[in-house]
Amino acid sequence: MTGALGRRGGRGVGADRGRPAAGPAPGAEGGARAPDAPLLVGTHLGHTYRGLASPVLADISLEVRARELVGVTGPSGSGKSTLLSALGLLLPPSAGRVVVRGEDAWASRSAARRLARECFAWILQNSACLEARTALENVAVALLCQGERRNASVVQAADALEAVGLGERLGAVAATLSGGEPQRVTVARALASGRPVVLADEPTGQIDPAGTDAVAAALRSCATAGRAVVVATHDPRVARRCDRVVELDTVALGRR
Amino acid sequence: MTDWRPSELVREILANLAARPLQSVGAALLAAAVLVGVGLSELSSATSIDATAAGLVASGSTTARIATTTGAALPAAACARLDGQHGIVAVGGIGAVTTVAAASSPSLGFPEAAAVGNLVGALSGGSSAPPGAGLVLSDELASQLGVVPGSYLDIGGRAVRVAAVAALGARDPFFGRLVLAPSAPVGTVQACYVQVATGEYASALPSLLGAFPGVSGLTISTVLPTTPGVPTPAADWAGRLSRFAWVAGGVVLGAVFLLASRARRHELAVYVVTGTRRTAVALLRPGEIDLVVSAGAVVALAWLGLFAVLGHGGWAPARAALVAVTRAALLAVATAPLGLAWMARRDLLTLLKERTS
Ligand SMILES: Nc1ncnc2c1ncn2[C@@H]1O[C@H](COP(=O)(O)OP(=O)(O)OP(=O)(O)O)[C@@H](O)[C@H]1O
Ligand SMILES: Nc1ncnc2c1ncn2[C@@H]1O[C@H](COP(=O)(O)OP(=O)(O)OP(=O)(O)O)[C@@H](O)[C@H]1O
Ligand SMILES: [Mg+2]
Ligand SMILES: [Mg+2]
Repeated sequence: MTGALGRRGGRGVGADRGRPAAGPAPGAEGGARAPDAPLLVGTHLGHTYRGLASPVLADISLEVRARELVGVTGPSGSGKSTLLSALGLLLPPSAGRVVVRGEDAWASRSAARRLARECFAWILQNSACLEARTALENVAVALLCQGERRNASVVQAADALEAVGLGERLGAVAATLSGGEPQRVTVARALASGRPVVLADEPTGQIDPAGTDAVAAALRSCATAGRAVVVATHDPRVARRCDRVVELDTVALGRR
Repeated sequence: MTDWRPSELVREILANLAARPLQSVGAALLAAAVLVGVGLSELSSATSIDATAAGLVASGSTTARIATTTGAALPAAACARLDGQHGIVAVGGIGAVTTVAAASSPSLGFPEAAAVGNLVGALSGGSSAPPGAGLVLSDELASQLGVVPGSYLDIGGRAVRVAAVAALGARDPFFGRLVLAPSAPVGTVQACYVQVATGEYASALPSLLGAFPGVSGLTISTVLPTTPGVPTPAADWAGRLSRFAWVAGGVVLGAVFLLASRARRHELAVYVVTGTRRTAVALLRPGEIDLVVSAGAVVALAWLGLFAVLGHGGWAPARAALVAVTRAALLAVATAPLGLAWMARRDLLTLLKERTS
């Protein structure tokens, strides 16, 4: 098993029931670090939102390597989004450390911002899109912001939308998409971005079973291509495809 | 490259504007309307001040002051020769000014100057004493020194008769402290004052200009009467409220666009979470505002220019209006980056959860 799970306190983290990852990913990351060194490490992560009496996350440790697809499950409110936000550097955790590509992410605010920009592709729970722009433009932004030219970006964006079954809706304005379509747009955006770590928060919450399978397959192929994927999900179709699943438990935090 | 290409960022700004055509055009029209308002308020006050000045000129209260830009003196005879020409009521020249003190009040120095021709008439509408008859004092100075016409003043050991007291300071406070010594039109004068008859200023101007052949740098300005409590056109101009119109217009536009930026915070957060550097995000929304305000400013400037050219106020007030509009637009554009500071108050996660629409 490549993923190490800390169990300090013993109850913050559920069973690891995944299968082993597909081995080390040579060349998946640069630098002098060992080829199978984890891309993303969270150690003893804890978080208490301001105004809440008890922590939402307590003592969670997690390592993710390239080529791994790691699931995070748990009931609503168990802190899946909070864990992903902490790992993805959107939220400074109130306890613990996040190490990205061997670098202590919160060493400085600018380091956190740089790593967040360079390493993570987000599929957010609310499918945050540029509402006034088309599906194609929404996906192209992920490439344009990396210095790509518009023509090349648009071609790759169209491919990514095709991959999630939105090939017919390229020119549709995001605000006019149905409930599930923006979710696929953000999945396509993450696929196209090429960032080494994909963080997916309920990427299939509003998608039909066939679409769910397509998204799960897309995430799987991201991992196969050498990226690391962390996916928070309620959906067994997605969880089944994960190498490992981290289960968060509300009872453990004494919140009931 | 790990950042937007500048050309692509510009296209992105344009695409965001084009994605909301009604809002963008509406915002540009709003900017144009506010800027035209700024320009019109400037134009109307400039025009009304001009009209005041023109009215004073037309009502005959005008005295023209002829001098040179170089400070060179004018021939006194040429000045005196203007007397009696068409439309001219009274003419007089002023010689070099020296400071003298009366023995009765030695600490009080006051300027004395030779007065050629009917300088008193040209300045106050009264009539001058003949050369040698004594001094002419302003009423202000006469009451300060306690003298009346016929009194004698002891100036540096000379006993000099006060020939007349006149309201010399009516047109220029400087003359209110002046002692004039009427003298014959020989030698030179520093300036020549000409009082022009009602409505005759324009027709008298050619003879004023032609009176001093061979003198270079001749300037003719008008000395308007000052009435206590009534501002001169110059004071009016300096004190006009419309000179703050550009500040008001710029602040209003800046504030409106700032408020409008609030609805776009979610979108800017999406750019950040997709991997756009904050420096590039900082250009996205201000870039839109800059383009919208620029478009509005072009419309406003063109409209005001046309309005002025078509005869509403003329070029000088129009120029003041165009300057005010440009300033207002620049102020609005300068406040645009504040929209971003506003956005940065909330953390990214909160902004991402915020739903627009
Ligand atoms: N900004 C916040 N301030 C205060 N409490 C918060 C905040 N965000 C989340 N919480 C609380 O933290 C708990 C965990 O939230 P989180 O969004 O991580 O749950 P989740 O496991 O992702 O749930 P779901 O499956 O419904 O998405 C919830 O009880 C939630 O109310
Ligand atoms: N306001 C709109 N303008 C243009 N097209 C729209 C608009 N609203 C929906 N559509 C399109 O109509 C189709 C059906 O939309 P609808 O929201 O009814 O789908 P749905 O069956 O509810 O899908 P989902 O399961 O994803 O919620 C979609 O392709 C959507 O993009
Ligand atoms: Mg969640
Ligand atoms: Mg629906």
